[in-house]
Amino acid sequence: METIIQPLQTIPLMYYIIFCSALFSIGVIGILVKRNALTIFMSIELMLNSANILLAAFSAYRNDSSGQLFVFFIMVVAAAEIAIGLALLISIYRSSHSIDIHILNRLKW
Amino acid sequence: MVTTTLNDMQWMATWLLLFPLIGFLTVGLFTKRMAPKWAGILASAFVFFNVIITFVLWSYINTTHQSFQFNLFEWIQFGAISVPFSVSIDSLTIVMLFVVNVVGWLIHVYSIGYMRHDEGIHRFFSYMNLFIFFMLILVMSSNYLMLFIGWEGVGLCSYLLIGFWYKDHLNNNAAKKAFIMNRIGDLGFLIGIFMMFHTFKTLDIQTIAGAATTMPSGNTALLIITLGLLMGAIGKSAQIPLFTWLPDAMAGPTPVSALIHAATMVTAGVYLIARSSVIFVLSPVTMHLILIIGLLTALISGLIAIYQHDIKKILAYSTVSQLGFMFIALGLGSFTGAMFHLTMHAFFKALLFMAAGSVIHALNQEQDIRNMGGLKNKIPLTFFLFLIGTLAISGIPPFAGFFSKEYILSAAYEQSTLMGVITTIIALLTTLYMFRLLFAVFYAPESPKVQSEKHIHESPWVMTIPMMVLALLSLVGGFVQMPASFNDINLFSNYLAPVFATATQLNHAVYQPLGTTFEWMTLTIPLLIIGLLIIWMYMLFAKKSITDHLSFWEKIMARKFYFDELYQITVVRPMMSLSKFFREFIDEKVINRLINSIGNDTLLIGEKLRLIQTGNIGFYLIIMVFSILAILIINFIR
Amino acid sequence: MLILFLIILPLLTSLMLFAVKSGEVSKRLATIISVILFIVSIIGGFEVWTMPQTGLTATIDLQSSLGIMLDFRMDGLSVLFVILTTLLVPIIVASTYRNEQRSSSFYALILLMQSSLIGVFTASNLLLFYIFWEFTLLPIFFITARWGGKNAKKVSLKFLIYTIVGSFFMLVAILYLYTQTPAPHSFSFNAIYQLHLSYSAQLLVFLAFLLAFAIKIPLFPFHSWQPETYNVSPVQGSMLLAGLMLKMGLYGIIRFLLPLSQQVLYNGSTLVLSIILIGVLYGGIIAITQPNLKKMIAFASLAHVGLIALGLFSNNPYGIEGGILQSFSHGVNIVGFFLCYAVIVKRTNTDSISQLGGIAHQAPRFGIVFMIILLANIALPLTNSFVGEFLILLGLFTANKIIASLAGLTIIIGAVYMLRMYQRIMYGVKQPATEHFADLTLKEMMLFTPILIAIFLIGIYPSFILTMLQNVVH
Repeated sequence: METIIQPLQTIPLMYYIIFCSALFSIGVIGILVKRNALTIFMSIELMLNSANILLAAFSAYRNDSSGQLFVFFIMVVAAAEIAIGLALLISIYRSSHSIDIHILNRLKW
Repeated sequence: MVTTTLNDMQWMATWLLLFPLIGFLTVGLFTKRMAPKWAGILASAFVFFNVIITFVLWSYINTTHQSFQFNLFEWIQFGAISVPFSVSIDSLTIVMLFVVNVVGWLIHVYSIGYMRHDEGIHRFFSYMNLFIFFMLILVMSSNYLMLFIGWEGVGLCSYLLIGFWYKDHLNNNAAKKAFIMNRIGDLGFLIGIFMMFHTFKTLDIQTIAGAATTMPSGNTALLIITLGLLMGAIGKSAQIPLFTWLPDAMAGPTPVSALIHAATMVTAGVYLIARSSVIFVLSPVTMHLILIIGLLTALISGLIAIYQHDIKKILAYSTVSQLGFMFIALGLGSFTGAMFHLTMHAFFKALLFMAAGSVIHALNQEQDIRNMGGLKNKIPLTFFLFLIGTLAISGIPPFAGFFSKEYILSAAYEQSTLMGVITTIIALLTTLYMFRLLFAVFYAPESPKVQSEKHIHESPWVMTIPMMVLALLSLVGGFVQMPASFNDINLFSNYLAPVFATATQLNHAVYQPLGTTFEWMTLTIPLLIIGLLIIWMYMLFAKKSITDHLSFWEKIMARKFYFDELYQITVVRPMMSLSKFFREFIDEKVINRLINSIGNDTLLIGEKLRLIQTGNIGFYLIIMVFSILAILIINFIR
Repeated sequence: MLILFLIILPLLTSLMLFAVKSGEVSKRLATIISVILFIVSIIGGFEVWTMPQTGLTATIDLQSSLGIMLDFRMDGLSVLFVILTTLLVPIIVASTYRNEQRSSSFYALILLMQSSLIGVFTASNLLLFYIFWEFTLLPIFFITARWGGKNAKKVSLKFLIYTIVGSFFMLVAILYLYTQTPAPHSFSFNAIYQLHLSYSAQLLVFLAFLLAFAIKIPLFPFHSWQPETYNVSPVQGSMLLAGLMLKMGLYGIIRFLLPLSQQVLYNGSTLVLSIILIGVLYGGIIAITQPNLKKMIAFASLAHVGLIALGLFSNNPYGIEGGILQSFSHGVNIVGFFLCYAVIVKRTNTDSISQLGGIAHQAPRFGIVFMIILLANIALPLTNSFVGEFLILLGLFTANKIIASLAGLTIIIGAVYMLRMYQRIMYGVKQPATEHFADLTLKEMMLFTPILIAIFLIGIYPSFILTMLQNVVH
């Protein structure tokens, strides 16, 4: 790991932080604004991945490999979650022929 | 007399209570199948046993000059409180035992004849025995709580017997009124008992009397106690203001009126105060109150009696008036006088009621004296007995009433001449209403009703013999106590002297004994006036039937001074309205609304809150994001 | 052991009865079992009498590390209430009539109720007490909702929620007390009694418990569930409610409220007593003109239990002992009263007082029985309630003379409404509804007999109960 870390540490940490925050915000705005359910899923993935990158960066800077371990965790969980989410979405599409979340509002009072 | 031990006496006293109780149960449960007369015979037998025991006890006390007291069993006992069922026999008790058992027995015998056609006769006699049972508990108990048991018990029997013919709702109303008015007095009695326990830590009569002698006169605790007991006595003995139940109680059968509402139950109040003589003497305020109440009651009910038309009602108001007299005696501190008059009154009032029963019986249930008249020759024996009763009650010598009233009057004169005069005037009212009654029923011209009645006959022997016994007693009974100017026979007062010794000692009022000439004056002048009054009444009522031209004041008196109406307006109606008000307004509207509103408000809030669930995912997401931001910021600020 | 028997036997029987098909068979079985329980509880009573200090105990450890144990104890106080329960349940079970067709689950529920009632009265730690307390709601809710009159479901739901809200506050107080006991924490009574709480803590605990009990008993002004619920419930349900369930509240007051909050009581007794007093008079006054017989009984009961509560809160031996005795007497009397009610309704199909009249002439035996029960209800001397009432008023007088005198008004008011009602129903003229009023049957007479015996036995000779209670009253 030494060989990778050394060059990595030349980039200031702050850059990574800003970059990941920007990525996260894009993800959040994507969730809030978009109508298409699939796009929302993609934004969720974006947010998760931004967290991943930040974790990896911190692990490099601290010389602690547990951060990268956590990245794997998150990737697995994200994958599982997306699998279920897509399954649900397909089921909903089958019954209502739409994935526009403004139309999918039957779970109301 | 056979020498007997104390133990035997205790047994005898216990049997006094057991006999009527057994009588109540056996007559009530077993006599329905038999011929009607057996119910009465059985019941009377049990009371007769009591009469015998009374004589035995009397002679025992006479010879040994000892009173005794013993426990039957422990009733309430724990911690500091101990109230046994315990009996005490002293000369005061013997006097009351005599009255209750002897007069009670005579009335039982009388009722065998009077009630013989009534279908509820066995119920009647079982209730009568039950009454004797409770009355005996009352007079024989040695502590106030047990006395209270008897007190309430006789109230219950009075209720059952007044409302005996329960198909008529007027009878039931009268019974209910009696019971409730009694209960009002009982509340006072209870408060007195509580105060007694609070002050003396015991309810035993003798112990309290002993402990009270150490207390100063006018002590507040004693004041409250005596006021409480007084209230009970007012209710039970039909004094003002709790007297309106007694005239209404005439709705019951005549023997009931004779026994309960003339001779025994109503005298319980007098007995109570006499029994508690020590503590009453130590509360001069209460004594004055008793005196005033006695005066007012005797006066007002005497006035009312003059203008009534129902034969039993006249006698009822007369009873109230005579009870007022006894209260006057008590208020003056003459406890012996009160007891003397109580005993004599029991004789002639029971006699009068029984005679009235004969008249009613003869005229086929007629009770209005305006429909009577001319019965002197038709039922001469009844007339004669009634005459004796009237002479006795009016205080004409040598009948008993003269001596008992005389005793009270001299006590009044001893206090002050004014008091004596006032009391004498009130006593003279008796002459007015009693002779009016006598003349209107027996001397006046026959009313149409009397003329139409075919079977006006004397009562059977079973009814007249008890009356004759009572007439005899009314004649000679007074001779046990004669005023100083006559022969100064003091049998009665000496008999009761040990009981009232402490009280007389403590009575601080200083009385001057009357001089002989003064006493002669107080005796003869009223007698003259009585004579004049009799002549006046004769002229008014013996010659013509009663007409109803009453002046304004007379109307008020005839209408019983509007007491009933007053109570109706001030007590009964407000209570009913209050009940309705509570039920409809407060319970329904206020409390229920409040509670239901809690439920309703919860539902309302729920309705509003559920609108948050819009189902719109975008909306949810925005809320989520903002909440997280808010939390972060707040954390950051902290 | 005996205690566990008393709790488990009805529990098992009731579970069994749920499976039985025939209503008649289950009624017989239930009656037999409940009579057996009565005999057993009398035996238990004797045993407790001989060892007044400790009473009987039974303990099962479940999780002692958390202080959760099944801990039962029957001392003089508990055994009295237990005997009351086992005395009344056979009468309640047997009081249904043949043509009413109660299914077997009805009887099963009654037995279930009995089991949880006995549990309440013998529980020796707070958690167990609370569990059984809540558990009693289950049977009574179903009895009222399923077999009740019109509006039954709505009314019983209101009753259920109302009671649970109160109990919830009690739960909070219980948990608080639990945390206050020295570690290791314990729910047991002994530990709780040892606590010394600060004044404000006492106050809060007092209020929380008071709320729960005030709703249960009920005490003014938390009584609004009572008239409707009694009215709507079947007769047996009302008997259970009035005769037994409300005794839980009174028992709770004696067991918890009084020992735990002495200081609060000392300071605030006037206020508490006054509010309860208002309830006593209020209930009595309303009962005077209440046209519905069942509701009238409800308000009369309100007045009576208010008086009992007054005795308990007077905080001195006479009042408390009188209150305990009176609880027993009231249970007996009110069930007797409801029995008379059942007799009337069975024959005339109406419970409106104005439609009744002239019964005494046709059914003299019933007239006498009714009169005796009525007199017991207004505390005539020589009946059971006189002793209790006297002691209560005496104790109250020692605490606060004015309130005692005002409370004494209840003897007058009681006489008024009882006699009024009796007169309207029994005396007077026959009404169309009461045309053919058969007198008491043998079976009904058998039901009344234990009640009448209890009335006179305690009225004339209450000593045995009083001495037994002496040790409990600290």
